[in-house]
Amino acid sequence: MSKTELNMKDLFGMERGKGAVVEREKFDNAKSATELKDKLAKKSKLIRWDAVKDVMAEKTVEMFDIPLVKVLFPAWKKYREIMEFADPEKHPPRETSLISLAEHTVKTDHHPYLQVSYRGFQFPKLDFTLSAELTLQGIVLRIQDGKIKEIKEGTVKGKGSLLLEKELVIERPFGSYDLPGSFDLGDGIPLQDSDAEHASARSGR
Amino acid sequence: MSPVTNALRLLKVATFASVCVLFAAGRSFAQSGCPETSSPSAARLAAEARVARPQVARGGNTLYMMQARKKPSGLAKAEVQVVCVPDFTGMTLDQAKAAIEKTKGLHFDNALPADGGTVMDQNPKPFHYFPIGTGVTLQLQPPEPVSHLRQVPDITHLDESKVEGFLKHAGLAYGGSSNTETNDYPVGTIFQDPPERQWVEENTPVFRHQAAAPPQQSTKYQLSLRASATELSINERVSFEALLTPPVAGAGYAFDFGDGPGGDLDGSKTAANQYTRDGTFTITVTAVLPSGESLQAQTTVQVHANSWTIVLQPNLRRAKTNTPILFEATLLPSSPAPEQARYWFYFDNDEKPVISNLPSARRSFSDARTHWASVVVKDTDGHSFRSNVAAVVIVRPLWPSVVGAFAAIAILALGVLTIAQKIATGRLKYDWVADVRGTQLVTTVPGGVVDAGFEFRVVHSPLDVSTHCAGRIIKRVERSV
Repeated sequence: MSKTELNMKDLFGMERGKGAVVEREKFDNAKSATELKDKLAKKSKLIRWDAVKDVMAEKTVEMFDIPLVKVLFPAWKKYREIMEFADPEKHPPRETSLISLAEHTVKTDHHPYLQVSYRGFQFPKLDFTLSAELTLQGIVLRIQDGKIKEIKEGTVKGKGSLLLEKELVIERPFGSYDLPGSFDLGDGIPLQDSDAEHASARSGR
Repeated sequence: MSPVTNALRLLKVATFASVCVLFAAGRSFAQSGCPETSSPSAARLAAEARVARPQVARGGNTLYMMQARKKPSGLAKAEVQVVCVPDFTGMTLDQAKAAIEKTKGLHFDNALPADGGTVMDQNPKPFHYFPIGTGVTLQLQPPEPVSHLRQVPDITHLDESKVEGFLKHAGLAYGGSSNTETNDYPVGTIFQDPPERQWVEENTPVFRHQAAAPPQQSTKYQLSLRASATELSINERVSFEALLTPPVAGAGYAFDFGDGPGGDLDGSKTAANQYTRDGTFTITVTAVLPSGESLQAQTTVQVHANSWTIVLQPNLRRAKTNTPILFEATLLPSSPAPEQARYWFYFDNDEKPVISNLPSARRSFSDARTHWASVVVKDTDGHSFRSNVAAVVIVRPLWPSVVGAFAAIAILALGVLTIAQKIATGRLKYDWVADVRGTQLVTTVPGGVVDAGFEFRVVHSPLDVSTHCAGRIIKRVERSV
C-alpha cells in the first residue's frame, strides 16, 4: 500500500501481521453472529464456524479501508473559514494560500455491515460500528483555485474502535502519522462539492 | 402374781428387746452401701444418727443406740450413726492409711501381709454404710519375690559323688542323674540340664544326664524286580535286577526264574537266565536283610517259540479332520503267522482298544493335532507282541481357512475403507482451509476446492464526520500569487 492512499486501515495498523488484532472470540458473543452460526450449521454440516470467523475477521479489516481524505476533507469543509478560500472573488485562482490550522479534532462514525450469503441465500447482516477520533496538529494546507492542492505539513494521531453490535472487536490508539505526501490529491480536492460528489455522498459510497 | 414371777417376766422382756435391737441393727448394716450419700436409706440413717447417742460399746466399733423400745409388733427399733466407707483399693498402704484417718468415723485396724504392696481388698467393703468407729482391715498385694540368680556350673566332668556338694556350694541343688534317650547328643555323652552358664533361681535343681540312643523306628523297605526284556525268544538271555529301597548293605538275594528250582541266597542283586521253552514265566526274587527280615518281588516274562515284529502303518501320515485313516499292522516275518491272532488297536490314550481279527482298523479324528496309534497282536497261547507307535497329523480342511482369510481380508479392506473414509471426512470436517478470494470464501481441502458457495460482502455506510476546534481553525495564512 502506497502512502498516497493513507487510510484508516493504516492508522489502525490493520495490515496483516501487524497492528490491531481482531478479537475473533468476541464474535461469538454477538447475537447476530450466533444467529449466523446456527443458520450456517443448518445449511451445511461441513461449514466450520472457525473458518467463517476467519473470514469475518478478514472482512472487518476491509471495513477500515476508508481513505483518510474522505474523513478529513469533509471535516475541513465544515469550517466556514476554510470554505472562504473557495470564493474566487476573495481568492483568485492564481493566488496560492498556505493556511496553518490550529489543533483540532475530527470524529467520525461509520456503520458498515457484513452481508453473508451461501449459495445465494442471504443470512442476517452483521452490523458494525467503526469510530475514530483524529487529532490533527500543525496542519498546513495549500489551497489554490478553490481546491486543496496539498497538505504541506501536519500530523494526525488518535484512537479508534470497531464494535460488532455492542461487542468491541477492535480497539486501538494510533500514533502520530505525518500527513505530507500521504495523499495523492491529483489536481486538488475542490472545497465546493460538485453535483456528482453530492450524489455520491447521498448514496453513501 | 408373785414378785419373783414379775421379776422373771421383766427380765424376759428385756432380753427379748435386746435381741431385737441387735437384729435390727444388723439388718441396717447389711443393707447395701452408699453409692450416693443422698440415697434415701443413707439420708434416713443419717437423720436418725443425728439424734442418736452412744449406748453400747463393743470392741473397736461403737454402736450408737438411742432407743430400744418395744414396738406394737413386739420388735424394737435401733438407731445408729453410720459412715460410708470409701474405696481404698489400688492405694498404697500409706495412702490408704491417710485416707482412713481422713474419713471421720473410721480408723485403720490392720493390713496383711505387712510387707504387701497396694490394697487389693478391704473390710468393710467400700460404698457401704457402717457404724461410726468401724475399724478397717486392708488386704495388700503380696510382695514380689526377690530373685536370687545363680549361674549354673559345669557338672558334666565331675565325679558323681562330688556333684551334690559342688552344686550346693554354687547355691544350687542336685536333681540327680539319669540315662536319657536323645538324638541331640551322641550316645554316652554326659550333659546337664540346665546347661552350663545359664542363670537360674537359687536352689534350682541341676540334673545330670547320660545320652542314650532313642528307640529305632522300623524302616519300611521296598523291593522291586526289573527285567531287561519282558518278551523273549527261546534261549534269549534276559537279566534281572532286584532293587531294595532304601539300600541295605549286607542284604542277600535269591532268584527263582520260574523254569526250575530257585537259586541260593547270594549277595548279588542281579541275575540272568535263558529260557529253553516258550511260555509265561514268573520270576521271584527274595531279599534277606541283615536283621533277618525278608522281602519278595515278582515280574513276568513271555518266551515265544516264534516272535514277530509288528509294524503299524497308517495309509495317510497327514489328513484332514474326520478323514478315515486305515491303520494296517504288518507282521515280520510274515510266515509263520501266529495262530488265531487278534489285533488290539490302541488310539491316543484310549483305554478301550479296538479289537479285531483283521490286521487293520479304520479311524477318523475330529480334532486337528497329532494322533497316535499302536497295536498289540495276541495269539492263542497268550503271547502278545506290541507294535511301534504310528503318528498321524490331522489338520483342518483348507476351505474354512481360505474363506476365513478372504473374510478377514474383506473385513480388513472394509475397515481400511471405512477408516479412509473417516479420515477423508475428518479432513473435510476439520482440516479444510478457508481463504478469501475477492469477496468469496473459498474452502479447500488437499484434494482441491470443494466449496465456493460463500459470499461475504462488506457494505459501507455514509461517513458521519464531526469536528471540534477550541478556537479559530485557521491560525495563519500566507498568500502568494
